[in-house]
Amino acid sequence: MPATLSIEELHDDDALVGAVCTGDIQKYRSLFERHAEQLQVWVAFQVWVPHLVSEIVHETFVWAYRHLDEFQSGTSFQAWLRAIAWNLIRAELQRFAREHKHRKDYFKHRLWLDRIAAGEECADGPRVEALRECLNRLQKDSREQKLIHLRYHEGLTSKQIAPLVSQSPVWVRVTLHRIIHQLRACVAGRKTVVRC
Amino acid sequence: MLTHEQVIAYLEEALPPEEAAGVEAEFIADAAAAAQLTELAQYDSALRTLLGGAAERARLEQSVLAAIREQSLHEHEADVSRQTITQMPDHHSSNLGAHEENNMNNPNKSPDNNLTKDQLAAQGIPTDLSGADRRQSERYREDLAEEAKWGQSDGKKETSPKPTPAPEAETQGEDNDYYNGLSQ
Repeated sequence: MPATLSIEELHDDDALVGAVCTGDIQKYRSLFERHAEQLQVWVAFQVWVPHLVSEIVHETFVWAYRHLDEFQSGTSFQAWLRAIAWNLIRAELQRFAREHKHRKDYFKHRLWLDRIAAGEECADGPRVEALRECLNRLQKDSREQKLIHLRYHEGLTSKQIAPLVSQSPVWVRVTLHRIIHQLRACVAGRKTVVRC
Repeated sequence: MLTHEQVIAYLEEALPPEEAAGVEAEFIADAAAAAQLTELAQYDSALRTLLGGAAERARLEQSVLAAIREQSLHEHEADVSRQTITQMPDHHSSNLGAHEENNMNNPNKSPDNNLTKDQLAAQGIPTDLSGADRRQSERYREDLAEEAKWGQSDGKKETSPKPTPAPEAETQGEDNDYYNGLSQ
């Protein structure tokens, strides 16, 4: 679903919200299908632990359902979901920082919490749709596309990818790093301010 | 200065513990390296979710729908309970009203309360007694009638009468002390 919604799409969301509020909870499935992917990737930009991404998305949709009567019609449902998710992320990471003693996880998240505290993340967070477009720009059947596929579709590590592309794990890591930098530069070129 | 390979290896948790500790020390000392790590981690996470998250999304859909169905079920149960509770006094009092109406034209009604002999018998109360048993039975019937009146009075069933207020002389002083205390 595109980040910028047309009037028709806003009305569709309003209609779905209205239907759910009057008791047709099956319509919530439609709302989920319209917004889940974009929210999920947006949350993944904010937190890096896969199970935490899923938890936040789950909690966001459940919280939104419970407070659906507070949603203002005519506004963006996706933006509302992000606002809910953002509050949940902050609360979750603070809890994570308190409770988790695992040194590496804590270290990475502490770096991120520092960025949240500095207000850097939300103001210029990269856009999900821009990333999708930049991925589509990768040449079909290119080496880059193959590496991205193996890494993120298949979920393989650099060590596992290396024999599949007849290269060393170091080469895989460096090449992936370079591809990510290219994607980041592409997204930065298309970046617009994202409301949190 | 950290190399790209070190950063991505750290992210993949592919570094031996000593080297990982050294990389973390660099991140702490070097803000630019820390920013590079966070950015890389962000994109790594986002790409994993965007490209490999379809199965997880399907699982999430099921869990979200299950959660809201469960909530709807609880809300429905609560609604039923609430309606049942609010309807009970009306139902109760309308039955009592019917009893009363019947009693007004019923030659069998007992003289000192609104319950008929049949109704008393239905509750296991003997109606043809004498002496102490009769007085005890009458007290029991009075209690039942009193209870019925409380049920009729305001639509709420009450099982016992309100306590009798203490004589004014006993409480007036206390009240005055209390209000005097507030005004001071």
